[in-house]
Amino acid sequence: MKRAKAILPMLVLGLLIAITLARSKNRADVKWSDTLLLMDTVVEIQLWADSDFGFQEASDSLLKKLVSLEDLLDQGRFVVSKSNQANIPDEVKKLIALSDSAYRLSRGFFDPTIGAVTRLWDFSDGATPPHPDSVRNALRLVGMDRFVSGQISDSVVLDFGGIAKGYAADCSVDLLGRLGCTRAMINIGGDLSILGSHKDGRPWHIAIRHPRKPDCFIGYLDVGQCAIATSGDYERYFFHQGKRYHHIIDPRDGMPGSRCQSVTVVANSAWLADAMATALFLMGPHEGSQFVECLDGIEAVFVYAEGESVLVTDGLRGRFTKIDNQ
Amino acid sequence: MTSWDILVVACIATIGIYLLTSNPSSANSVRMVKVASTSGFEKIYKLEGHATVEVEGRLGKSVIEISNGGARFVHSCCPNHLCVKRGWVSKSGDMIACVPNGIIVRIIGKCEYDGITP
Repeated sequence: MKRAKAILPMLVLGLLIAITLARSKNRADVKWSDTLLLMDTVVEIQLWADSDFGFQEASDSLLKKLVSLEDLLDQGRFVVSKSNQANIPDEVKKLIALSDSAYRLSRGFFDPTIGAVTRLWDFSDGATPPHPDSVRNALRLVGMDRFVSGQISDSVVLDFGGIAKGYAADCSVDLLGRLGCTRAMINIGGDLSILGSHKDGRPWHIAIRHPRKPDCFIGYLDVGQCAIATSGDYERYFFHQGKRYHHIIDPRDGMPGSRCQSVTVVANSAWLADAMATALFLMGPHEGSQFVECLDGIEAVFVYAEGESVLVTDGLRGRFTKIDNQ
Repeated sequence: MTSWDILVVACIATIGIYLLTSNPSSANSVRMVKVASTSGFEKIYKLEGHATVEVEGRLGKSVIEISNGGARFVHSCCPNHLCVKRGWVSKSGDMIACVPNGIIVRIIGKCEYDGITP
């Protein structure tokens, strides 16, 4: 009885400590998520913060930002003509500047002036490739160098499809950081921007979709704070006379690239990961991996054009795990 | 307080924290499918068994089949039918979205991955 009386205060004290610590842990680990359909894709927002963090206000601010970006672009495109070139919105100017950086870095494999060509391609059911003459004519309006130096006198269709989602993911994470959020993951159509470390102290596990088995993953990455983007030939495509035609168009010939099934890029910012995924897809595993080895802060996982083989650049060795889907 | 007492308090506190912060609910480990639309439709279905769900979207009707532990769009009135081409989805955390028609089919449950690209 005496012993029981002695244990009781200890039990109460122990439970009080437990409740206090558990409440403080829960308070700092509240997860909030939302899914939106914006920018012609799915936007997934995941935030972890203290319970007194303004989740709804943060989400509303994000929504406002993303809608304003969506409103500027028409299906990811912006036409620059004589009538509007003096009044290009600041956000579009930023996209042009980032696109120009990506164009130069990628040696022209990423070129936003491809818009005149990409709008010839239709991926609805029963679609066929555009006529070669149309593609040839449209290619005359392609060339970031000539656009930036003002050498193209006609209207230029800028296609930000390969950079805008990543840029939006970066803007979202920046906004959340400014609002005081320390841990978040924004996924805009597969372009991920990750803020902070995982709450369990482990790396973030990011699955990469299998290009030919849509319900499977070809592997997964273990990463910290970073941005990830994938370009694949399975996202928008059609078959014509037994050949796959997809949406990643080579600015050199106006036709879909054929050297990979997909490329996943890890970088410090999502706009760069997004643009480089397009460029590396067109370069292919051999040229692309050599190119990546010369760059700082960019790594990639290539899935070869045939089969399930992957090529992982040096910086991702040990951080990519292949999944056997046999 | 003796060192023995401190040890007892520490043990009780540790067990208490575990019980209070762990989530023993099996809800996360059971996979379900959530069908939602921008028009306000939202319903969760079991993945076992067979069901056909018709959802009215922005453009018209989409038909979703739930069978064999997975779900897929079997019909959609969208122009490019990417949602139908996508086929089955069965892994927790994965989803199929018909963006033009404003419908999302998501597998919910304990997920191995924090994110999926693309």
